Amino acid sequence: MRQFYLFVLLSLLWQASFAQSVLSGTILDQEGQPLAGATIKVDGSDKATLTDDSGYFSIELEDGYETLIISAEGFQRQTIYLTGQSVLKLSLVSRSQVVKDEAARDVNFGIGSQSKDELTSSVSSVDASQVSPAPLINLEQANQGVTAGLFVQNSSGTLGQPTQVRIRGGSSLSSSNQPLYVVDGVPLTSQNQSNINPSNIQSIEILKDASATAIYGTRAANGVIIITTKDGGSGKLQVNLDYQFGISETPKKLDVQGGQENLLQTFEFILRGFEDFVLNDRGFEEIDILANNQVFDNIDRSTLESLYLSGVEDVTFVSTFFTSAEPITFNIPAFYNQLRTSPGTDWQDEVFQTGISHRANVDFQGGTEKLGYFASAGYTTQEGILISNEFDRFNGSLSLDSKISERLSANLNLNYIYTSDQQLPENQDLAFPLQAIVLPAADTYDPENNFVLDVRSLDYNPLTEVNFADFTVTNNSILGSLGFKYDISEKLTLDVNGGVDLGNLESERFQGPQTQEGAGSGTNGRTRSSSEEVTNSVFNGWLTYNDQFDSGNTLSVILGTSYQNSKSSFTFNDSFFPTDATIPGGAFAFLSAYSRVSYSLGNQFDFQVSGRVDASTKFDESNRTGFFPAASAGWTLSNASFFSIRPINLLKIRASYGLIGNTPQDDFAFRQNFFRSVRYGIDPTIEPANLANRDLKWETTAQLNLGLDFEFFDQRVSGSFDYYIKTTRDLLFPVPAPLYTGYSQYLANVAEMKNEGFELNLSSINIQKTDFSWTTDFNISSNKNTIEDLGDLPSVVVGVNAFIEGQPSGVFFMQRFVGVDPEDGAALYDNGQGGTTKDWNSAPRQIVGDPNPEFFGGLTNSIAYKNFEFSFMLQFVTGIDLYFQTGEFLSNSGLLNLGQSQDQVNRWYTEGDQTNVPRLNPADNFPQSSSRWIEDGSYVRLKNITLTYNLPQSVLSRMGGLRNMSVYIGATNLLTLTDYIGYDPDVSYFDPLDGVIGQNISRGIDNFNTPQPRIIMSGIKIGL
Amino acid sequence: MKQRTIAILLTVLILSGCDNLLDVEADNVFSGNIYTSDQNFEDLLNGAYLNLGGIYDGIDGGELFGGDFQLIGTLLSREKDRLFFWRSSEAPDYQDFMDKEILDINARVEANWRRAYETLNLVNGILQNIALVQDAALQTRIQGEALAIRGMIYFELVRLWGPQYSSSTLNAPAIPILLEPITDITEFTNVTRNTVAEVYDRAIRDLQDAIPLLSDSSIDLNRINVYVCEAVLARIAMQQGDYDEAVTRANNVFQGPFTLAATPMVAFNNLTRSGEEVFLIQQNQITSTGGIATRTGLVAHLASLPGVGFAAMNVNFPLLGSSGTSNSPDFSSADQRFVLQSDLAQSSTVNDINVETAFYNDPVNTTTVSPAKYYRTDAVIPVIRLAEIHLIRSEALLETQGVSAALPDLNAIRSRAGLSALSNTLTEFQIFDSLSLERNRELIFEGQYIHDLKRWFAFGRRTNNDQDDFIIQRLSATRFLEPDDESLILPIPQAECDASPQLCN
Repeated sequence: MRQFYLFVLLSLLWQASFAQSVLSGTILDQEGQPLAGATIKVDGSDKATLTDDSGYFSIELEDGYETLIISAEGFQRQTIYLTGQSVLKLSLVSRSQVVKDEAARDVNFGIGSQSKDELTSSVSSVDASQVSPAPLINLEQANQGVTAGLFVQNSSGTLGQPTQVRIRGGSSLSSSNQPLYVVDGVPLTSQNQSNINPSNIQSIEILKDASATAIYGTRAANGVIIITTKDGGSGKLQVNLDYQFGISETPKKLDVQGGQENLLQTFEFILRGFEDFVLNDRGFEEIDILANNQVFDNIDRSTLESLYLSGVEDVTFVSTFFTSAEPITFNIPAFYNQLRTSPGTDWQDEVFQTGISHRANVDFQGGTEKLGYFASAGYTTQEGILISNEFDRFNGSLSLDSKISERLSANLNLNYIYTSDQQLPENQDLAFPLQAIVLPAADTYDPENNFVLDVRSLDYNPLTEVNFADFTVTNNSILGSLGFKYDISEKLTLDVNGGVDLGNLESERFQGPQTQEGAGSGTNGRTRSSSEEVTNSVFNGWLTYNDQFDSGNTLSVILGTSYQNSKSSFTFNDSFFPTDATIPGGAFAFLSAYSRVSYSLGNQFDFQVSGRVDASTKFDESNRTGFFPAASAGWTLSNASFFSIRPINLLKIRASYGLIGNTPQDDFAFRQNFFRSVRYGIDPTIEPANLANRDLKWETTAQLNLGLDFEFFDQRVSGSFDYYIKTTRDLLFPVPAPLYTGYSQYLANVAEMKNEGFELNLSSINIQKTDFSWTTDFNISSNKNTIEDLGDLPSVVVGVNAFIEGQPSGVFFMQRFVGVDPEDGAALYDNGQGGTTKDWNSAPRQIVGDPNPEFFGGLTNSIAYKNFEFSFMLQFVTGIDLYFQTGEFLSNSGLLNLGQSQDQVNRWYTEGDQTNVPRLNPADNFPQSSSRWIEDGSYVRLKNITLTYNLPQSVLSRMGGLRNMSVYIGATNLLTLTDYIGYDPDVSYFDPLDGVIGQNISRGIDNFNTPQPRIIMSGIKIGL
Repeated sequence: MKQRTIAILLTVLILSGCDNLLDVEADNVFSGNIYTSDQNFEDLLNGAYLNLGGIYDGIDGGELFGGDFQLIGTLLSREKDRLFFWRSSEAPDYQDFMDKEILDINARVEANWRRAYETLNLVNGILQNIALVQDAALQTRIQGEALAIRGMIYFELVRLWGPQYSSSTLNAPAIPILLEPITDITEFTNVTRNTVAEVYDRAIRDLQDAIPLLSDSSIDLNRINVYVCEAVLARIAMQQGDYDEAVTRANNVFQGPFTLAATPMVAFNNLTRSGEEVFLIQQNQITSTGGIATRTGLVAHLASLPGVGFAAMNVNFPLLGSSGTSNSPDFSSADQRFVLQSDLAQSSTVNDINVETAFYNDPVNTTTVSPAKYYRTDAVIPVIRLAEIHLIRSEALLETQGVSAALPDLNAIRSRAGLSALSNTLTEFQIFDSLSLERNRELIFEGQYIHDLKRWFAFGRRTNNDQDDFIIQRLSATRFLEPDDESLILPIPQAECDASPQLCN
């Protein structure tokens, strides 16, 4: 038998290598009708022909193993790899059919699914193929600018930092505003959605309106993101390999003062010190300065320049008002001359690095009719753009689909995650590398002497802190689920599944004795370690009933129940501590029942009612159960018999309304709790933590969504528009308590918030030719957030942000800087009564900016030409204010004689100077927040750009039968158009010590945040 | 069939299993029922100490005995920008006390009020459930310490937030007394302010009740023991002008194992007890009232070494030594409590401060001087020292038995400070004058002097400088702020008035 095959093979080869062959055939449409005018082109050559009226063609070939590209107007292009045959019969599929198929693709709701054309709610789907090849460490970033209504803001470009995701604005004040992540049916407690291997993701569904999310009930107020990982396949084993190499760099260097300018500032700092602390005390208000036998009558810039250039030893001040007063002579401190001779340092060059990244991935997919399998292993290692920041991740996954019997099937998904993160200290920590940008450029350091600064030897040098420290966080996690599906009858199915989300985070930070914090404890340095363990399990069971009636109407009913139990434990240990600290853990459980009934009336009307009953441990027993219903309807107008507007292929209107819930952040806020506090001496302590409020209940969000889906011009243009209004009532918020209770506040359901906005998606197929296609996707969203009611508190201020009734969440609330007094160079602030004041303390705080964006979205273009694919994605955010808090130190008139940005050169020097930069004041030692550092944070960013070359089949076949192979080059964050003066407008710092309310209030702050890196990468993908 | 399946599913999973499934607890979190083990009682009591000592647990926590009672008392007793200058830019919340214009929204007033009541609520919970402590000896000790803590706090609250105790103020409203814990928002009661006499009575009764309970326990000198109760009762007796009682209580303290340190400054900045402390607040490198990082605590405000403190208080050193300035301690150059160290540089550490140093030159702002009583954030904070008990007994004996009886205690303090002993040829008036100066010197920065001025003024004591010594603030050439001025009484915080208006009417 084998010999026979060998014979056939050889004869084919023989034929192929000797004969010029002719291929003829017929091209049909999907109905089987001949297709005239279709183009048949030989890939990689000029040879081409057209079909005649009967769909017939004939073309001469070299060897019969070419690749043919067959295309026709209005039809999906098809590529055929010839294997020596001489006759070809082929059906092309019309594009409208492709769109239909796409519409019929099921949208996964996590619990049950629904075909897209019956959808009545607002859901966005991201297909696996849309996930960019860029080495995005987390999934959230992959969605930035891709999905309407989803605002993604990076907290920082430091690797391993969280990303903020807001679906249709935040809906809570005191609880988390992050969406609920559900991975293969498991609602996560761990934050591991970020660590799933992007190559393993099959699809991502983003549920936005009440109708879509109601089935997730109590935790769906912030939207739900459902992640489905890849399943087992069928057929023969397919292996995919990919490798990527990348180089990351800072996208920008700030314009900071060089050594000479820094020296000039230092000199002024010294002189101003004499002026303010000594001369003014002695009545020397009008002075002459004698130095190097020259006379200067002011500390202005030219005085400073000439003195600094000549290098003075001492300076004499003469009062020109009290001429009888004895002149005062000061010696310039020795450190000044030390700085003069120092080579100086470019601190940005010292802390930024070029980061190298590698990513490799292999997966296997295949199976039989009875058992499908998918397995993968991936490894990523990425260096940050700041020194000593590195992130490594290993992912392993296994998925099995088994058809146990005719009626019973099982599905297993296992994802293992290991990450190791070389972390950096917190941004505000003076050991954080980027803090080095405010070190004096004129100063330098000696690596032999532990990188201690030559002159300002007491200051932190982040190089010391980083070189003599180690800060590693490792994560070992498993996400897994096992599900069974049993067809009870043709119409009734039972699904049962269970899942786990197990996470273990270990953090260890060592600071050597050379560091500032490690120095305290003798010679061993300081070691802090902590761990976090998450055990989260879920059980789900539901019945699905599907029926189609004779009238063509369909009914689908889902009825189910779920139980989730989650527990988190923490430990903390510090070598400075006598014993381990005890940290309160978390625990909660949900017991729920849910149902969804969908009814389709012909192909025109779709109705859906859904709801969920949740019982939660987060509330008192008497108050524990909540009911969250939703209803929606859709009318496909274009299917109505009266509808006959030719260019419109699809027009569907949707409406939904429902209630969804949100639970408090704290697990047992309803009862009095006691926590272990810090020790007293060496003794363990317990302190009461809160007042009980047995009446606590869910935050409830009522959301109305109106939507429109459309397709025009033979499906060339399609899209959707959604308008929504979300009102959240019973928001949990602190209420002032009588202080004689020992508490200043307690949690109660008092506040109200509104989010209103729209989302627009547009897709267009601009060109679809044989060798050339071009598609464009565009989305834009807008959300207006208003705090309607804050209960008894008129406002809550955290740092420079505030919650204020009638205002968007987190508005910037601080003193308004209005300029500089030309007389004395003092900063002027709005005094709230139409005038100005120099007294920052007495100037009232006021609203000076809004950190919430007005519009945001993205634009993606994909172009395919022959074997090349080119795509680029622009992402934009407009109408957003940022607070450049870095500027409080970096751009503050030489505060504390720190290194300054170049624009501070324009500070006030002498009477009459018109400027916006106040005088250098040596008495200031703490920045005073004001609108001086409010900046427009709008930007347009070329987020991704990729050029891919798919090797033609003719080449692949010569390479031992590879299924496919492509190589690509690309870049992330290549270009950003913005007026923002900091490193990166995609930024949101919050102080980890501020707690959840603080983190909800604080937004739009750039406090020494690492910019998002610019990454240039190249990779290869191979299919076997 | 269908219905039955659904019914079974829902019934089984939701109804029957409900109670067990929704029964979860987190690690290291205790529900309202905390009083379940003796260990928990001990840890709760430690929690009360933590609050009493103002150990840092957030910026809104008052420091009580660990700092604010000392700092607020010191600033209230001193004329603005004369002996001491407060740098408002560093610590604006304390400027009110220096200005003698204390707003009811002052953050320190609110923080201390709240934390004092937090501590009271905690000990009230312990006391309400004290019968649940299994070990009988432990029960007695915990009850005794909890009562003593309550008494100490009520005394300190009434003398800061109420008028000076005198026959005319006995029925004046002071502060509310709470004896039951409040755990739930439904338990807010319509509390009102109790009178000065009621609060003093409560403080005395709690401390007196504590004494027999603590008498049997072994003495732990790092915690509240029977001598601490006696010492606080001695302070209370002085504040009430009950000198016989003060002598008795002071004598009882001298039964304890306390000794005066060799020189005055040796009693400060020690990592463990020096021997002189009758009551102290424990601190170590990790748990302390704060430091320059948190911008809290005595050290951060008073010290000027870089990285240690931000020197909010600048001392006008020469004026402390020259007489003629009202309320000056008039230190003589021989006084051990007036030793200035002037060789500290910016690179100096706390280890470079000499043991004898009482003041040092600010190494950053070299024209000013900083006090050296508190410069280590890991050191114990003396709250009541044996030196104060000497001065209490001396004064009480002077009032009851005359000059000769008063001299030994007074001379003990003078001699230790390097001053000559006084002889019994001096008049009672001269001795009182010396005693009042001695309190001013010995207890400087310890927050006691404002209360001395208030009681001396109320009980009609005068020094040889006459009226001048009771001038707290010059308002104009002829108008003076005197110790009975209402502006020296801390206001009930605005936040409290908002929540409970009846407290502020």
